[in-house]
Amino acid sequence: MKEILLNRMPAPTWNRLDINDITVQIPDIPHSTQQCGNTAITALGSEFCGSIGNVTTISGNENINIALEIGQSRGYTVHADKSADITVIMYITANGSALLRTFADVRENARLRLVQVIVGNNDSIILNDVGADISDSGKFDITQIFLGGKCTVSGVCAELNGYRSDLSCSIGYLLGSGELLDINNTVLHKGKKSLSHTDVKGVLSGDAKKTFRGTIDFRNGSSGAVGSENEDVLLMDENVVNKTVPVILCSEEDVEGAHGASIGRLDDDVIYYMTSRGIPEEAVYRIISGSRLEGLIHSIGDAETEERALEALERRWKNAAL
Amino acid sequence: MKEKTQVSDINRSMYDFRYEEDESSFLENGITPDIIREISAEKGDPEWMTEFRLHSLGIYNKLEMPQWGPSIEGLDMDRIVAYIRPKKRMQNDWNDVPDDIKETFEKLGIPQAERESLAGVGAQYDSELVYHNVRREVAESGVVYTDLESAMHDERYANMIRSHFMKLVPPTDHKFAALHGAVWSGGSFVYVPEGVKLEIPLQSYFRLNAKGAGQFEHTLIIVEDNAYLHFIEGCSAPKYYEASLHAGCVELYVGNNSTLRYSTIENWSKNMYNLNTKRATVGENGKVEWVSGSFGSHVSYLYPMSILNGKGARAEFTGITFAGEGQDLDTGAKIVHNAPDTSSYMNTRSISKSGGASTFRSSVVINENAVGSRSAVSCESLMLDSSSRSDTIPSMVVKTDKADIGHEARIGRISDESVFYLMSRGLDENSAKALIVSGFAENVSKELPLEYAVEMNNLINLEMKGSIG
Repeated sequence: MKEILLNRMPAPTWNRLDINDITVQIPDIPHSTQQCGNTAITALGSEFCGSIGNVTTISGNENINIALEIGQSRGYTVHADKSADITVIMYITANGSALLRTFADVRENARLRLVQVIVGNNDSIILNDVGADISDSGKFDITQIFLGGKCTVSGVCAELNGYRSDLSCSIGYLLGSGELLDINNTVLHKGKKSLSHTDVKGVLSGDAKKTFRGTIDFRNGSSGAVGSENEDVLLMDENVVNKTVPVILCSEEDVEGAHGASIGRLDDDVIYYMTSRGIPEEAVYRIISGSRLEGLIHSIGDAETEERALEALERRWKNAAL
Repeated sequence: MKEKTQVSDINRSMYDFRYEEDESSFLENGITPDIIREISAEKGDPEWMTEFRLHSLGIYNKLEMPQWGPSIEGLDMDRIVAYIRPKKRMQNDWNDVPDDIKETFEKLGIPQAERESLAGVGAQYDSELVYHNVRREVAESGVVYTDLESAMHDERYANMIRSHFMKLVPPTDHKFAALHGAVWSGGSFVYVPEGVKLEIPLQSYFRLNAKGAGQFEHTLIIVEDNAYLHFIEGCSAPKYYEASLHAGCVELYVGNNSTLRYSTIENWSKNMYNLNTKRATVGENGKVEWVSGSFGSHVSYLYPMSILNGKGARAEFTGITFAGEGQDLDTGAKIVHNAPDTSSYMNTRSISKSGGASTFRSSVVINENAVGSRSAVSCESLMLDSSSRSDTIPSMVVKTDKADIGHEARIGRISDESVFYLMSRGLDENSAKALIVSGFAENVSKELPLEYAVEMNNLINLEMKGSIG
């Protein structure tokens, strides 16, 4: 086993908040000779990228089941060629520690949809890295749904290099007792009039711990770029720990950047309204928190994956900690 | 007549005058145990303070420089003079202050402000306070406003100071807190007794005149229960080509049901490294209000911290930062919710131009015991050109489900719609932009007493009168 430093924030802050990065123990995986895309575009870090082997290339619609075993690493490079429109759906499970990297190469006028449903268990340590290089008028839509797991470290690093390149990122998570999720998303606006929007919705219960670092980085020359980011976290139990760091870095005058965060419990008025209509309070929490994820699951667009994800969600509701 | 036509750097000419120092009054450069003992002997410290200084020096030598903020590589600690002997001990009569120092503060408008709008004034020149005075009726109400050294030697306050000094900001907090513990000199002690509400403010003004020197004043304010105080802090220095250092420390103790407003207009010169530490603890239903304007310094690390220890305690932070050419200002606030039903609000603005860099950095921590707490953070940044930088790095840590926290931030340039609106009412484009920048700072100026709001607006607005045509 070795310790690996992951998810370093592009602009660090006070060390005592314990928020700048995360250290995880992973099995010794030999350095790979294969490269999974441009390894400089990574959220988890270059050391992580150097541990990825078994790289598969995808250039059309794919619906992949990825069942990672202990110590396994897997890499996917997805090429969305000029004017292509492809969708890649990944349903990911893991036993023990496992590494996954996906690199998206989105060419001119292409559209790539990447869906990742990541279902962890009491033993899983899943490290999931997504890098994306987006060219002129290219569009990258990524949806990530995290349903538990002992420790999940994930990140998206997207470079909007092209004119009017576009990133849309939707993330949902549901965590219960003994579970940890650490996310590091970075969007680099380099192209003129590039666009990005990140929307994160999550539910924490039991003693779940979650960190979300979201950085919008407007580089010099990205004039006309617009970037936004929003996180909405529902806290359901007194022992949860939520950390949120929404960062904007800006070295270009002609841009618009915005971020927002809303963290808290269910609104008393909502609970009152629903209980006054005969719904038990416990069910109110489940309905409201479930709606955050079910909407995202129904947007996957593949009936089989949606069904599996809803079943996994249902299993999690049955878990006493939730 | 030329009118406002472009957004210019702040005019510092009224702050940049200086007098030559007699260098025989300087202690040796650098920070060593011998220098610490010499400072302690010069000041006639009690034994516990000498030991505290040496202990702090030991911590300073062990701690690393901060790795997460603006570069402070240009700060050579071996070249900083930690202490400058005063020409004359502190006076309570303005006429007894040495002429050059008196002239300095008169140029800065301090005696006039004292006459017109203040309950008391303290003026520090380099390492020591040179003047301190408080209105008779204020003193009669039991309010104590004096220099920290005098209070430490007064048996009425000695124990109070020993039990509060660097307890909120311990020397272990960070490298420059440890440095402060070792070499601190000057600063103010304010005590507001229970039930006393001081309607007019007290002010301390800090002036660093000497080249290559450090200023390490310590401000200790204790506001007992059911009391009110507004304290104003101003600071400036002339520009030299050598680095200067300001590593002051402010500790505020706010009692139950009390309010303390702490306002700062900081206008250090652009060779200054401003590594200041400010912290408040707030009791039950008490409130601390920070109003902060950061305009000067080459590099700033400045984050007033509020620890809400009493049930229902509140904190507000209102700040503006203006970073121009050669400046890297990292400012913001920290709030720790450490009791039930506490609340906090942060509202900040920053402006970057001509290659200046401003960073808004904050943290809101809601601890397990802070059930029912609420926090809202709002920050807006304005970029006036593409050679500048503006970053926002807010952090939120929530350890209970019974809390609500909201955050919003926005970054961008002056909107074309706003400029168009003003131009359609007869302003030319540059005047419209200047007016918008001026209005952008209103969150702070409206929180200051009129005289200080005028000074702050002068810092921005008067110098927006350019000379394009």
